[in-house]
Amino acid sequence: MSSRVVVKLENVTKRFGDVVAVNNISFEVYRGELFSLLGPSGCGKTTTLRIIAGLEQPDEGRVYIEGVDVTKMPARERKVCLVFQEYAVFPHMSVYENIAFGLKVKKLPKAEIDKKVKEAAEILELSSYLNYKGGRLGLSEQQRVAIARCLVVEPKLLLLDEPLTLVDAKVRERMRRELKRIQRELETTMIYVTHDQLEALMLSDRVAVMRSGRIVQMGTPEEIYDNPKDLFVATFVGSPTMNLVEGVLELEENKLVLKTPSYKYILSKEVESNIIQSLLGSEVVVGFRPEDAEVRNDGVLEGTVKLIEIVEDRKILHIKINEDEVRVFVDLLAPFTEGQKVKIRINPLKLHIFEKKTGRKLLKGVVSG
Amino acid sequence: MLRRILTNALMWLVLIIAVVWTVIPVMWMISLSFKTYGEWRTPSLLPRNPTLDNYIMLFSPQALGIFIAYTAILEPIVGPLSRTLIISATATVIAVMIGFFTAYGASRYNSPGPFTLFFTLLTRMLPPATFVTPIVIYFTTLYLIDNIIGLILLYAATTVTYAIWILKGFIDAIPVEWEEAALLEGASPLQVLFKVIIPIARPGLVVAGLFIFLMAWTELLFALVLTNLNVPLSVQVSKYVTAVGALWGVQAAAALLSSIIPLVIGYLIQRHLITGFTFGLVRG
Repeated sequence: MSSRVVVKLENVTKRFGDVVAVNNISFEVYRGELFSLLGPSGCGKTTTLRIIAGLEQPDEGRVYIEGVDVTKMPARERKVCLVFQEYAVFPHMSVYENIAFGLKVKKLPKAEIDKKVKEAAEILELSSYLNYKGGRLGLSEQQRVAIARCLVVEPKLLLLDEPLTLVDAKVRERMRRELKRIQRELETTMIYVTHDQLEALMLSDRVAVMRSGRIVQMGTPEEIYDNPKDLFVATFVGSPTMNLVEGVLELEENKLVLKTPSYKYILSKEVESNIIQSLLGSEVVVGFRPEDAEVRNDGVLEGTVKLIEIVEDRKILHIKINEDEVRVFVDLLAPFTEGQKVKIRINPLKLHIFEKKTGRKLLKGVVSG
Repeated sequence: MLRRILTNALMWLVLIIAVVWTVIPVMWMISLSFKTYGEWRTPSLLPRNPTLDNYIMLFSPQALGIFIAYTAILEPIVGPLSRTLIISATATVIAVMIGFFTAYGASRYNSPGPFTLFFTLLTRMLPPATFVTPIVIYFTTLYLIDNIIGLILLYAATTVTYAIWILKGFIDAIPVEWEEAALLEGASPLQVLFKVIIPIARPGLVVAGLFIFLMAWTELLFALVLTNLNVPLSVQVSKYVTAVGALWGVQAAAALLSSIIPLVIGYLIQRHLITGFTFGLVRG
């Protein structure tokens, strides 16, 4: 086992009664890395985190921290800290006492405690709050206190369980950046649990997407976004979600065509037929992200603009094409009106083709780069 | 305008009636305690010749010499008062301590369910008179009759169920995350208990404590049966009115005295009481 590895999970399974919360999970987290567990609620991500912390015992499998098997080690001896989604701060103690808690129970000298508390408060911009009572703080300050409390005990690993979910949207964005800055500055190894795909993609070095207790896909945010392994990951990651159209693939006059019960879509004019050959005739779901299609006069698909949404610095056109509605990004200032007829062209390199029955990815891109 | 004055007037009237209704007996008690022997049976609210004789009687029954017949059965009130203080305080501490640990266990670890805790209510479901007899019999063989330890044990045992139920509510409302966070930062289970749980549950401990203290302070039935010479305050108060005669004024003075201490304690901890009763709001 390389010394780069801080945490290693080996075939970890956890059951609650008949429910398998975590199903045979294995992964490694490297030193200084920000690793995210991403998934919908109930996918087992929090349980996985609690197993690493030692707050839950796995039914099967082993957990290693810095090469040592800690599967049976009590939580308080693991030198791992956890920031909870809520109730992270002791309400009866001041911010100072909160941050000092972990050092006080270890009976460190007062001067050293003082120095460490003030350093941590500085990093998390809490210096002016030190005398406030924990119960009187807003949620974002509470979460910063919780992080400071973890940092002072210098854990081998910092675990965060949806720490920003309950924080206001505006503050959340700022805190995300701060968290990443702190992580980079201190080179803390962090495991971050979230159901917010945007958060996971923004923050992480690597992401593990979980579903029903299993890891579906693990990789860098770019890999997860650009090359999802199946329909679940493809639709879970990305906002607005990937456009999906169901049908049967066929080749007509060297054009790739998706046939639905009532319509035919020409997906691409030029196709490398040898790639496609094996897929012809099978039931598939074709997906493309809103940014991988553009509205242009020589587009192959024609539809009507049903709705225009403004999202930050872009517009999303909801375009009705036959029975289906797809979303396409356009410039904020592009002069579209609802009801207008438009043509779109999908980047053939960015077409994702999934098997309908299993959701498994069959192919990405219908022409080679 | 007129309507509002009328409504206000009506409101005040109701309030005054309610206050007078509840306060008059107390006023009578206070007034009686300052009246001279001859006036005890006159229902006037103000004593004609206010006197401290009744209070002097409480502290030294022999001093006045006018009720010689009673002095044999009456000891100075200081004895019963200190006995009751010791009994109530000790019983409270024992009941709250046992109650806290029971409630904590029931709340945090998967106990066999509320059904087990339900049995702790048993002593409260029967009229106390039903188990006076066995208690008297066994206390006799255990030398606990006329012994304040007997009353302490009995009061602690019969009130511990209140402590359990009050404190369980409080501990249930304490998120387990606080304990887990403390544990992960290296605190031992005992440190978690004393630095996190107990300080946060303090309002609950105060509420349960006050409640139990008052129950022990005012208990009469068992005290009457189980004591002879070493009587607590509640029994002493009842003793001023006996078959030999009725020292109404002295009894009023004793009653007033015995209500002052709970009153003072209640006043001193009312701040905790308020946070205690509103603790549920912390979560919202």
